[in-house]
Amino acid sequence: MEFANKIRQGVETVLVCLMGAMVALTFTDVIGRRLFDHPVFGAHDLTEHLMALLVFTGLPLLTLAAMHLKVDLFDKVLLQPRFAWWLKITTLLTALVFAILAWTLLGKALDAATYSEVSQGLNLPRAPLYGWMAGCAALAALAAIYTVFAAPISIAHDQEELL
Amino acid sequence: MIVGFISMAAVILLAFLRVPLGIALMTVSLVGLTWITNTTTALTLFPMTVSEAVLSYDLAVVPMFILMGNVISRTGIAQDLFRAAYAYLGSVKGGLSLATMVSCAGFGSVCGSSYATAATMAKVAYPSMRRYGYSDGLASATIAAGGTLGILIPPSIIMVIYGIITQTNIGDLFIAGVLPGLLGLSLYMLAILWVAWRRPAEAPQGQRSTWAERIASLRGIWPFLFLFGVIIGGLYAKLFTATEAAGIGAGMSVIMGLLHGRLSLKVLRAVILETAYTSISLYVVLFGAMMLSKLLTMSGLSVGILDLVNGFGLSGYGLILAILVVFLVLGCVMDSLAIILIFVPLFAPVVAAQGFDLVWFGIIVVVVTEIALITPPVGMNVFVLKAVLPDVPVLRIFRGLVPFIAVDIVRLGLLVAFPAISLWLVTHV
Repeated sequence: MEFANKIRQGVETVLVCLMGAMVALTFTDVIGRRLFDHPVFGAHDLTEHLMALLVFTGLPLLTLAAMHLKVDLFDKVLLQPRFAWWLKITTLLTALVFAILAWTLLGKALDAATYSEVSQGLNLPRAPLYGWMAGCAALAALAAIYTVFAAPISIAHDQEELL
Repeated sequence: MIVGFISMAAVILLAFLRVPLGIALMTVSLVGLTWITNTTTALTLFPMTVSEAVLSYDLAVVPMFILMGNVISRTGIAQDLFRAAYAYLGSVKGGLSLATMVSCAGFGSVCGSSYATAATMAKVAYPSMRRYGYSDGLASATIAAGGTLGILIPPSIIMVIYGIITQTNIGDLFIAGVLPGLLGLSLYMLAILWVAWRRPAEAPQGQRSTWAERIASLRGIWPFLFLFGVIIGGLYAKLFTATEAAGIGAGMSVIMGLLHGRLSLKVLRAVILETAYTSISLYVVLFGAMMLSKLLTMSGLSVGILDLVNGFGLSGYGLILAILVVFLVLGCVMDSLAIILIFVPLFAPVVAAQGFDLVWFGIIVVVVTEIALITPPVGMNVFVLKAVLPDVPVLRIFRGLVPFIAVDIVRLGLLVAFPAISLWLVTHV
């Protein structure tokens, strides 16, 4: 459990760095462009990559914590123990969708490698990024399966204490 | 067209049955696309839509505006705004309620979340109102209604989501939200004055502040005014795109928070992490909404609805009225984000085909979802307040909200009848 906690904290640090870098980059780019006529070269391209990395790197943790947005109108009924089987089915559906996403993104990564697809601004190869997205989507599918058998982890706890 | 209808029904059913919203949207879209095309097309469109969304510079506006709102919420600006508004309005009958409404509008505009505004202002303003003898119905209803102003006065996350789904210029949406937001604030203030006039015991006068106190109270809010001015001024003057404004807003709020000593590095890390998780969960829902949008286009549902509308002889405004009724009814049982994600992809093409401006329609949709936040039985803002103020009965909050809902309906009517209220600023940029 201690090891899992360390991994979670490590991933969260990566998320903070990605998000911080994205804001710092956009801020610097706009100030540079509007005040000094010197935009950051490839800023748009980098921002897009950072965004993709942020969303997919955090996806497994978000799934492990069962923090996806839900309509909670019938929670009083559906959260009763006699509907536990239904909640497991919804979680399995989540796993299935992420597994399909992982599989199709892997196909896209292989295609991108074959055709040497690159980004528009900095000519960064797309295949590794798509591969990373596919890997993270697969991990998210596994995370969903984990929550069918065990309680979701709590990722908001540390923050709530601080905020 | 029949696939489109079944898909819409399936999304609503799955969402109500607690399937995560993004997963419900993606599942139905995948099945629907397979049905009307084939498996290969559906499985090609899926990663293409997701990668396009996640690699879009324009979509980066979402996390950066959320970060700005989260940072500002932690810098104590809510107290400063309330103090300043109270210094100017406190001595009027109902003045504390008026001050709360003004600070709700100010805080909500930069925070961008109705729930966060209602929860924060409940802690900041409610104790003062109770101390001065305000009825708990008026006090809590003021905060619940004031919380809704945040999603109309820019920057607003709901408007960003609407802009992404309908491919409408987000900067134009923000500018279009200014006058309807101010109109909403003015009408809410009139509603408070009406309550104070009809039932003076519920809204007594507060203390009169001296001019020295009034001027001193502005000291705490200048960073907020500066930030708001830079963002809205930059957008209005077309100096920034929405994403650039979000980057500037997020960067400036972090720098100002750190320089003023109102934000420690530890709290900043927690705020960034909270923003990252919120953004990821929104992106998952956006993936689904974009897939559904493709399905609805390919299924011909929007075209079918347009034919139906023409068949029934509904004029342009008849259609708008019908859509508003659907949204108002849905708003009683569904969250505003869910309504926009599921129904805007369906109705926006129909509305655009009738010659209406999608920026104007966006404002109308946001106002309707605002009303949904304070109408029974779901009225999410009311339940947020109930969580923060467990001693106030829900029924009393809803009763207190009646004058605010009434002026909201008036505002909706004005915005529908006079599109210039929304579009004048946009066309005069």
